[in-house]
This record gives sequence, structure tokens and C-alpha cells, in this order.
Amino acid sequence: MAVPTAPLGVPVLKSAEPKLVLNVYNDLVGSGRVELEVMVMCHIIRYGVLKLVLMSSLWISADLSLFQKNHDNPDKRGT
Amino acid sequence: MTLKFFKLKTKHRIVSQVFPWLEKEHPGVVDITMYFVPQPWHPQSGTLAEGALAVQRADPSATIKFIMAIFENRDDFNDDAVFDMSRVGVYERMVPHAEAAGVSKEDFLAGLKQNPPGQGGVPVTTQLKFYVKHHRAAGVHVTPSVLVNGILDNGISSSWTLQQWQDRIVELASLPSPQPTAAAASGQA
Repeated sequence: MAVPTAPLGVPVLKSAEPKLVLNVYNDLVGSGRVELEVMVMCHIIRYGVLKLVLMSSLWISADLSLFQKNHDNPDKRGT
Repeated sequence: MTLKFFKLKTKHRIVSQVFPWLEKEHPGVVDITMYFVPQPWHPQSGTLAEGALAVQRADPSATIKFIMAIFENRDDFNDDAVFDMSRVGVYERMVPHAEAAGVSKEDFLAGLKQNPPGQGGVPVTTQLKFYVKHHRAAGVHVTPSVLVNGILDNGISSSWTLQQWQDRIVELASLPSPQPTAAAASGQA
């Protein structure tokens, strides 16, 4: 059976007389999960703000429209 | 719609915080060795491990610097970033980090050139197989996994803060408790 010709592993911290020996097993890649979570939050915030602005615009527009309508109707002026 | 300006540059907590803390505060107390665990659900994971092994093959002393650089630039190598890249494309993307670690492009790619037809893999494939066999024998599946004095510690999690790492290591090695840092207090990665 083939075996390594040198010890495996990448020495990170070496100690002649360690109190603790840690073998850390890791991959070198991330899924991008954190970035995705942040991006989703940004989308929610962005669309939330957009919706707020849109609704405010519609409300102001409707209000102005009503004002204009009332303004054009002498019987409704001042109401 | 792109919101790339909101992207965070993620850092690997063990590499960016735990290792430096131990090196600075408790030199010579803890012995740490890192092993590669390629994960098939991140197809580029094996390719990145091959890159690290190509660096190790060219200059073992450059390996940890290269690994640090890959961790620091994880955004360039995560699933989204390399989804439609070829194996060679990922190798090429690692070249600047190999060079920054002190390994020339030629020496780096020498460990990653295609083996003769019929053999499969690249020059570092045999070494990669040893790593895979090693972590399988150790019962490692998730990353990070940590063997404490030779025994797998299932309590350690990738979500651990620096403070949690410090508490565990202080307990295991009977070290004096560290002073809380701003980063630890905020749980910053």
C-alpha cells in the first residue's frame, strides 16, 4: 500500500513541548453564505425603502389629485 | 440588480484570529497542524487543495502564507465566484497568491500540469489522495474539525467566536484567561 514519503499536514504553530496539540481539518473554500445573507437583507431593505417611497408618492399624488379636483369644483373648495 | 458594494470580505476566524492570538499570547504552548479536507459539494475545494499542495511541493515554507492568502480572498473562490470557471481557470486565479507567497508561476503550475494520458490527475493528486485518506481515517466530515490531542472534538463549530475559541483552549491547556478584545466582544469574524 502506498504511503506518504513525508509527514502530512501544514505546520501552523510548532512547539517542542506543547501543552496542547490541535489538528485542524479545513477546506479552503466558503459557500458565500454570509455574503448571501447580507445581500438578501440589502434586498429586503432596499425594496422596503422603494415600496415606502412609491406608496408615499402615490399617496401624495392621490392627495394632490383630490386637491386639484376639489380646487376645480367651486362647490368643494375649502372642503 | 447587483449589490456588490454591500458584500462583506469574510475572514476565516481560526486563521485570522485564533492562530495569531496563540502565536502572540502563548508561543510554544500549542502545536497546530492544518490538514486539507476537500469537499465535493464545493467542487473547487479539491482544486484549491491541489493549489496548496502545489505550493507545498515547490516550497513547504510558503504553504501557510498561501493558505492565508486564499482565506483572505475567499470571495474570489467561493461557489458563486467560480461556478462557471474551469479547473485550469481556478489554477490561474491562484497564481498571484502563489507568487505573493514566494513561489514562481512556473513552479506552482508544475505541480498542476495534466498528467500523461491514462494516468489522470496532476502531479499533486497522489498527495491529495493521502490527505483524503487521512481525514477519512480520522472520521472528519465537517469543516473545521479539530482533533484535540488526537481525539475529535465535536463541540467545536465554525460559528465559534474568538472568545469561545479562547475559552476552550485556555481550559484545555490550563492557560491564564485572556483579556477580552474589542473584536471578541463584538463577535466579529
